Amino acid sequence: MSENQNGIVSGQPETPQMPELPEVTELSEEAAAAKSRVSDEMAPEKAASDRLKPPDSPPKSAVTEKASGKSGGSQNFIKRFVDPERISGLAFTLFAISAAVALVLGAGNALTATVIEENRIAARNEALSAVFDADEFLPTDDTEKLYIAQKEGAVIGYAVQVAPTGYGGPIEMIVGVNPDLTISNVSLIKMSETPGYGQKMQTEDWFLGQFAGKSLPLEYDGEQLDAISGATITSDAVINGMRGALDRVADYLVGEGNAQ
Amino acid sequence: MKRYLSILKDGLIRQNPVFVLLLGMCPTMATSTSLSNAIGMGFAATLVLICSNLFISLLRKIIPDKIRIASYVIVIAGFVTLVEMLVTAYFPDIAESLGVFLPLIVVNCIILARAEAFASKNTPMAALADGLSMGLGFTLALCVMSFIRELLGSGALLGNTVLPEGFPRTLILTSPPGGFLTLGCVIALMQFILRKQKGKGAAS
Repeated sequence: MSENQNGIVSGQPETPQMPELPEVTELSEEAAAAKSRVSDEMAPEKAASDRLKPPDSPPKSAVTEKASGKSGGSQNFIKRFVDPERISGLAFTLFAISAAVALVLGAGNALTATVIEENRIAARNEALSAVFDADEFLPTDDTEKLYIAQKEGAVIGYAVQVAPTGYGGPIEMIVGVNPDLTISNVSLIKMSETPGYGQKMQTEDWFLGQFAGKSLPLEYDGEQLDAISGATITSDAVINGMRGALDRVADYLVGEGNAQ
Repeated sequence: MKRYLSILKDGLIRQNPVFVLLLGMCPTMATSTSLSNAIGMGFAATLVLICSNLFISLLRKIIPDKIRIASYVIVIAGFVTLVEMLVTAYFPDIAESLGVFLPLIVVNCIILARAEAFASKNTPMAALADGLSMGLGFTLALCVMSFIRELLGSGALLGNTVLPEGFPRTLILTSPPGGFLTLGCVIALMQFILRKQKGKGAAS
């Protein structure tokens, strides 16, 4: 007997009494199960007929109602709680899926976190040693932005990590600064500038190379320093990064002088 | 077996996600500027697509209809994050060049579209095959686009300069408008060929 027929048989729907409501909802469990299978290839008509009925529609017949709403106790409560037709059931399913995914992600993170951190440090160290041929890079304070490059116990320069904003996000560079506040060398860690325009800062060596030996004030004057044509924002970002690095080292030297 | 072949053909050509369904335009424009990016993006998306299709198909009887989209998004986001962590850890160069587009696979509409249109209605095996073929179709489309854009735009392939210095570079191809121009031309060419084949088939 299909549910549709059932609905017709019941004729005049009785108004449900309040205490019976939960059982009424329970009744539609079967309908909900069918409904969740709507997208399945099977029984499209049945699914359609189920869909016509709102889940909280008046009861079909007293007989069915009694038959399914018989058992009580905690088992019934759990059954009702995870009923996909109730909001608690939906929340439970969503929670279960989220929890499972979170568990998997936690495991994935535990597996990869150390490798990712090692990669990051390796990339930074590579960039640092590209700037100065030093034995050791001592980080100053806690920001990890300024490193003192030491060779055989003597300070040979300072390396500053800067990340000015270019056209495609931050341009991460390490700027090497000599103790006399001139730029010694620049190495690029990461950038995402436009290919063919801003990306020339990476592919054309003259651009970053031209900053070697320069000191404040830095300006693109067309003689000493040249910007990349078609990439004004990238060029400005790079020169700002250089200025920031020189300022940072100057500030540090002044601060150190005061401390002594 | 015949069914799987047809699924594969659908994903690669007849229902190609980029050239026919026109899904996932944003990552297509952004990552098809160089061939290496395209391959990296294609494989990352394929991996996510296979996993999400498989799991959504397995869970299709458990996930209630009312919260299916939310459930799909959680499953997809989970896999994307997992793939992102793995790529960042073991292929840092690819992760770096793909940048923000790697986590943005979450919102690649190809994946949600396949979950909703295919995986939630089919058996896990068929969903797996669909994920693979759609992923390969996406990769193929990205490779075709990036081959044209990288070769004519920056005169290089996989980062190596192949065109002589004197050959003019069509710089616009490396920017998003050039991406749309390339896409339009490729779609037109593809439709032209498909139609010709169809005409031949009808005639013989």
